[in-house]
Parts: sequence; structure tokens; C-alpha cells
Amino acid sequence: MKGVVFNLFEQFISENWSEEIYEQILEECSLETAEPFVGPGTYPDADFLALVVKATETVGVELPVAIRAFGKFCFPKLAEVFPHFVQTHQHPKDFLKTIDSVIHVEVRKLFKDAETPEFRYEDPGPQQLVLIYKSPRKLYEFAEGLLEGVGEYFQSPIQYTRTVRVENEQEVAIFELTFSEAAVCVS
Amino acid sequence: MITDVSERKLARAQKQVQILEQMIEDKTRELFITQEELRSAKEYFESIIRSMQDLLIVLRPEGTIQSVNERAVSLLGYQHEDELIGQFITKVLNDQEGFHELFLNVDDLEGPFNQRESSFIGKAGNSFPVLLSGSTLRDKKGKSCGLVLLALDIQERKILEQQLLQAQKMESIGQLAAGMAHEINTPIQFIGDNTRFLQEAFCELQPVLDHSTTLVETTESGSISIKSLDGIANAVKTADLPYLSEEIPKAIAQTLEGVERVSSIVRAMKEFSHPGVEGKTSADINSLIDNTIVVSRNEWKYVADIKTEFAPDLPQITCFAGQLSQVFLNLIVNAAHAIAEIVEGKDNETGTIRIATRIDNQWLEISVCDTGGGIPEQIRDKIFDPFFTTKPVGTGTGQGLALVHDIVVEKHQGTIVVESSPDMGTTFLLRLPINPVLEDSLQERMDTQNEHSTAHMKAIEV
Repeated sequence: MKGVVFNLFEQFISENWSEEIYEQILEECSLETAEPFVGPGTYPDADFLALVVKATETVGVELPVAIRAFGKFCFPKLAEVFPHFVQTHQHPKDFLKTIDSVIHVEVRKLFKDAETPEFRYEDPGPQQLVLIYKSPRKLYEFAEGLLEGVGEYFQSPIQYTRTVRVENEQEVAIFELTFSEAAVCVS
Repeated sequence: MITDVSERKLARAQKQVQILEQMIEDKTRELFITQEELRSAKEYFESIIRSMQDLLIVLRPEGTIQSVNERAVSLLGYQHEDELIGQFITKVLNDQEGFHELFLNVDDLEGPFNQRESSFIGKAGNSFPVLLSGSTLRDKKGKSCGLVLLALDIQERKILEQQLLQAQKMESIGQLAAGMAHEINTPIQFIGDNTRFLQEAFCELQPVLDHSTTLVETTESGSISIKSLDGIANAVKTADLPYLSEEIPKAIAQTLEGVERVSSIVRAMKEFSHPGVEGKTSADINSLIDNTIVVSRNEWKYVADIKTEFAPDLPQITCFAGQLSQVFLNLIVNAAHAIAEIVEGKDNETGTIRIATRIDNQWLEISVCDTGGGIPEQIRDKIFDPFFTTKPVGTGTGQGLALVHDIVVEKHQGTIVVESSPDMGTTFLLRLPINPVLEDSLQERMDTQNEHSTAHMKAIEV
């Protein structure tokens, strides 16, 4: 997992609880990585999971809730760092449809070892989008948090349902999204 | 228990800076190595293209030159590639073969085309033949973004082909030589007989002339003797003047006729064996066929009569005249051999070879029909294959009809249709474009070629 996610997690804990709590979590975690996390670095998924699990224990929040909240926290931060990916779109649907074809392509250009999840889309109607997510990490709640962050960013709440199915012996999550009627999709 | 959070954060931030600096160094080094590898790969591919002996030209979709290799620049007589880049390919490619349409429709190009004969035009206006291959250049998404042309310079090959054709022609002449010697021998014999008769006649006339001279001299001196008159009378009587007066003109006429026959055979042979010029020239097809009939006379005269029906208004066409003579010779000799198989052993029975020419729109048609036994159905699709022959070992090389096909179809963009049956014999119908450079006729030719291919199949199926 990229270091930027670890750095965002540090911000998430520090801003929502305290810097002391993050230091405590860090100290009590047994991580494979000895050095500090930096944005462009790539670190074991297990280290991220260990931090998240320790954080939920420390602050007393359930794991899925914590991961979803972290996803929602991440989106505006990422949009701030990479505004050109977001600001060119008027509607969350337009933006979401560029994740796989634009954003992840750019990520892989910068970090050739990046393991980005795979997204496929179905477009059943103007206010709807079916997003099929496939990743060995299965961070479904993180994806949901990001979707909530997207809705807030565009000031157009997104309602979603999630189902899981198996495709070619690999688990995929299907997010059926419904956008607010007020938002006008330009795609 | 955390005692000094700020201190730890600061230490971590300092370490992060160190790590990031190291990452930048690593990335910079990686970038440098990648650039070096790219430069090296670029040089490698450029050196391959530089060392190519073929001409490599990359075209944009609209048909302008995007890049050329050094070999192309040098063979076309230019100093620098910039002189060619951006120019339409028609600046250097002779468009007679109709490639222009391909360049305008690269999207429609179905797969690559291989080794199509064409020619390039150098800066100095010189033309040289090439074998042209091309394939559509496509981007990552499969969309056509140009055309890659690879051309093989075949100037030397063409010279060798020319020499080979000449050698084959000389081989034919060698095979015809005995027959032609016989053809020449007959008139030479009666020319000799008549000349000997004239020699003897002159000997007989000599005394008459001598006595006549004496009589003239004595008459001038004013004294005519009876003796001189008797001398003339005896000489006239001995010489049999009425007989000589009748026979000498006949002998002279026959001699002149014989000389004309020998002369026509020699002239025909000379024209047939002429190496010709490198390129196409304007030629009279009727005349080429006539010459070929003369030089091949001994091949067919014992087994067949040749009947010609030549169109009187046949225009001259641009062609390789020497090569077409070879075509006519091969067809006539084949026809004679086919008839010989039928009439062999039958006294006084001969067949017929009909040779006709006619105009059909933009085409000149030549038909060669024989009354032989036809081509067996099982070998009809093989007759144009090189080295295929049904003749006994040592008498046929299997090159005759292969050469006919090459000369008519490949060299002249013509067509050949063969109709054959055991009852009707075999007809070879050759069609040559009257004006091969006209673009309009190109499409028609392609259409007609298709029609004739179908007709050919139908004819073969008869």
C-alpha cells in the first residue's frame, strides 16, 4: 500500500482524536516497516491493517466504522492534493467514471509498483451508476467512505447499496449508486 | 506513555525528508538509466534502419512521407531526408500500378501487400524498378496512422531477367536453327540451279556477242564480209536463242524470288532475335506474329497450315516486343506439337493453327487456336506452373507456358484465357491493354481480370 494512505491515516487519527493517540498506536503496533512512512513509498498491507486494528482498539470504534470514516476523511484531502482530477467535473458520476481510466493510470505512471484496484462501470440511467470493485485487499468500507466523501465534495449525496459476488473465483463488490435528483449529470 | 510527541514527530519528519531525498536520488538515477537505455535502443534501431539495403518509407495517412531511411534518400538521388519529408509519395513512386488509391485508403487496406512490382522516380527523373511491400501502421488502439513501405531495389535483377529472357530466346532460336536452315536451303538450292543455268546460258550467248562485235567493227570500216554474217548465223543457231529468251527471264525471276524468301527469313530471324531495348516500346503486334510464323515455319509446316486473321486497323501498343515474340513462338510451337500428336502416322493429314488479332474496347486480343487433341482436364490447372511439362524428357523444359504467363500477365498486366476440349483443340486467348498507363483503364482492367478469371474457370470446367 502506498505511503500516502499511511500519512493520511496519521492525519485522520491526529485530527479526530490526538497526536498523542497516534503516537501511542504507533508505539504499540508491531510493524514490518521500521522507518517512517513517506507518500511515494510502498509498504506492506499488513502494516496498515495492524495500525487500523490497533486504532479501533485504542479509540473504541468498530473496524468497519473506522475504515469507512477513514475513507470519507481521505477524499477531500486527496482532492486538495490532486485538484485537477476532481475540479474538471461537475457531477460525482462524471468524476467516478474516471477513476479507473484516468486516476489509476496516472498513479501507475508515478508509481510503477502501485497495485490499484480495478473498477468497472455500468450506466443504467442518468442518476445511477453501478460500480464494480475488484481488489485483493477487499477494502469495501474504505470504498464506501470514499463514495460518501465524493458526495460531500460535490454537495450531492450519493445513496449506495453494496452486494458481493464471485467472478472467476475472485470476490467483487457491486456498488449500486443513486445520485441526488438535484445534481445535473453532464455525461 | 508518550512523553514528548513533538520531538518524536520532528525526528520522524527529519527521517522522512532523508528517505524522500534518497527516493529522489534513486528516481533521478533510474530516470538517467532509462534515458540511456532509450537512447541506446533508439541508436540500435536507427543503426538497423541505416544498415538496411531496402528502401524504407513511412507515410502519413494522407500519403505524405513522414520518414525515410538513408538508403532511400541515397538511391532516390537526394542529399538529405528533409527534401523528401512532407512530400506526397507520388513524387517518388511511379503511380502506374495504381497504388495511389491504396495510400488514400489505408484504413481499407486489408492486411499487408507483398512484393508488388513498381518503380521509383529519382530526383534526376530516372526510374528504377522495385518490389514494393506495405503494411498499415496502427496505433495502440488499432487505428491506422500511416503506411510502412519497404521497397527492394531490383535493378540488377531486372538486368538479369532481361539477360535470361534473351538467353531463352536464343535457346529457342537454337532449337529453330535446323528448321530455318532447311527453309533457307530450299530457295538457296534453286537460286544455285538458276545461277548455274544463267552461267551456261551466258557461255552459249558469248559467241553470238563476239560475232556481233566483229560485225559492228567491220560495218564501221565500210566492209561487211559474208564470213562475219555466217559466223553470227552459226552462233545464233548453236545458242538456241528462242529457248534462252524464254528461260533466262524465268531463271532471273525465280532467283529474285528465292533471294526474297531467304531475305525475309533472315530479316524475321534478325528481328526475332534482337535483344530489344530495356523498356517498353511501341510495336505492331501483327508484324511480330508474322515474323514469328516465318522463323517457326519448319516447326509447323509438316503438320499444320497457319491461317491468320489480322485486324487491319490494329494500333501499335507499348510493350516488350521481344518478349511478346517469345510468347507467340511458344504458343505456335505448342500448337504444332499438339496437332502433331493427332496427325502422326496419318499420311497427308494436317491440322490448322488459326491466329487472329482484334480490338475489344481498350484491349488487344490475340487468339491462337489449334486443332490438336486438347489439354487433358486433370492437368489444365497446372499448365502455367514452372517446370510442368507433358513432353518426353529432353524435349520440354516446362518453361514455355510459365514464361507466357509471366510475360502477358506480370509484364504487360494482360490476361490469358484457355479453352480446351478433345474435339475442338485448344485456344489461348491473350488480352493486352492497349494503353496500360491510363488510370481509367486500371479499374476496368481489374474488373475485366475478375470477369476473365471467372470465365477462365468456366472455360476450364468445359
